[in-house]
Amino acid sequence: MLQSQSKQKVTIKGNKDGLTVHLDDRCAFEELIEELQEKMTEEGLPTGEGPEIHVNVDVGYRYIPPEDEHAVIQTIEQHGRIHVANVHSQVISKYEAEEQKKETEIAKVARIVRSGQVVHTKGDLLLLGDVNPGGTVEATGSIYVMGTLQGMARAGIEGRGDAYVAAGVMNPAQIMINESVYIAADENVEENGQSTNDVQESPCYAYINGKDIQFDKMRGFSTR
Amino acid sequence: MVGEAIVITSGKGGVGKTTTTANIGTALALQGKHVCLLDTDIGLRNLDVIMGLENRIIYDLVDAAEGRCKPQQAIVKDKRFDCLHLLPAAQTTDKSAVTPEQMKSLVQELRPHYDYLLIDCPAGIEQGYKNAVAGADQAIVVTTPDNSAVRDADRIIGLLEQEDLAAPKLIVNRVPIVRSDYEDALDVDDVVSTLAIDLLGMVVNDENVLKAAQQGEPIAMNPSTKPGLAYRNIARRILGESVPLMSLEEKEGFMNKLKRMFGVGKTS
Ligand SMILES: Nc1ncnc2c1ncn2[C@@H]1O[C@H](COP(=O)(O)OP(=O)(O)OP(=O)(O)O)[C@@H](O)[C@H]1O
Ligand SMILES: [Mg+2]
Repeated sequence: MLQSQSKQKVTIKGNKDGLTVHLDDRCAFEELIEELQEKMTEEGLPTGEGPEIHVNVDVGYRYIPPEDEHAVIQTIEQHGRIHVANVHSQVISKYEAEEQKKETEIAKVARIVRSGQVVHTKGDLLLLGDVNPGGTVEATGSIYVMGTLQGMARAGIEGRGDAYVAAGVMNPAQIMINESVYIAADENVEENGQSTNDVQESPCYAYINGKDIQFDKMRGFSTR
Repeated sequence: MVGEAIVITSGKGGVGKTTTTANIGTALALQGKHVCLLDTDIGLRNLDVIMGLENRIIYDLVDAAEGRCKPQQAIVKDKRFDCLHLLPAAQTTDKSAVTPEQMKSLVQELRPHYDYLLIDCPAGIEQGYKNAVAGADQAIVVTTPDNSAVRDADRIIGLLEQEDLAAPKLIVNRVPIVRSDYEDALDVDDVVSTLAIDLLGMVVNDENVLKAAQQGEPIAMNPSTKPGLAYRNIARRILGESVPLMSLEEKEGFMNKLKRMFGVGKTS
């Protein structure tokens, strides 16, 4: 097969971040894999024992769906000592873009979250209402309850430990931030089920401190 | 007439749905309104007992829903009021004997003959609840002032919001007036603020309610009792009159008296 040698589709550059494999973003994906395959099986590449070499892959302005990304990684990693640290693309799909946008947005919900109901949002949740006992609010970001929080609040549910839960009146049954959990103490629940926990009547927020969830009064923005 | 169908529901059992249905029905009849009480608590009927009509039942709601008889044939007339009727529940079958569609068409068929159709809902959120709600235009949620009843009421309100109904109204039943009853009870104001729906009325806890029920004569017949008056006021509010929440004020008066006794007067 005649192949144009004028421009290489796969180039490797080193910089302060280590080795980066640049993949041409104009040619067909099959051609890329083909050339990558050649390069990886070329003689002269270091073989044998030794430390793992981490490389980054830059695909430029090529949209790389998960299966293609997988193919690139597989082709490179067939060389036992090379490990792909990350695959970077300048392009993401519309869906991914929307998801990312949601992640940084504040979802405003005006209602009472009643017993048995669950409100789930991407990004931050601003609830204009109460969370009643038995109700649940969940967000990948932080949660702001403008009314009374008596049910469950789960913030940072996809791993954001910097998320927090704020409420006008803080009397939650349970708060979960990332993997830290606060549960209203049982001994503070009277026979009639009425909680006698320290109800924070003034606006208050909960955040992760170490591994535990800590509550603090909102005293303006200087504290954190 | 285009009767308004009101379902009386609660989630939790035993909080006073049947008592409320019987008494609001009686109080509306006292005002000359044409009322039909529908007992949808199939298998556990007792609205007929509270009304003192159990011996007069020939057909029941399931017979009517399944077309074994005309709805009018299944209806039992009240002893005291010509304008008050009861469609009793079946005692022998269970709640799955009727479908929401059947209930809807049954209500539709009865509607022209009454001012109000009061549907007594069974406890729970399953089939029986779905049947009871199917034909209704409005809902009254009954709760007692304790956490578990309020939580179930909250759940029911959440479910009612998904139906094509007007915003539900609240009745807080069995509100304690005796001081020793106070300890465990929630404050009515707290109940109302948690549930965040309009308060239609509150009924005090009074053993005369049970006594009246056992005699087959709803307490609403007796306006010299607090619950009797409360039910009459609730009926007037349903009719659109603005009747102040008397018992609430009385209770507040009582609380204030207590506070004054202990010297915690209002600071304003
Ligand atoms: N205001 C009241 N004061 C005292 N007792 C009451 C009051 N209201 C209801 N009761 C009593 O509570 C009991 C339960 O009432 P009722 O049968 O009306 O409840 P329900 O909600 O219909 O129950 P179920 O869920 O089983 O249908 C009855 O014995 C009744 O007499
Ligand atoms: Mg009942």
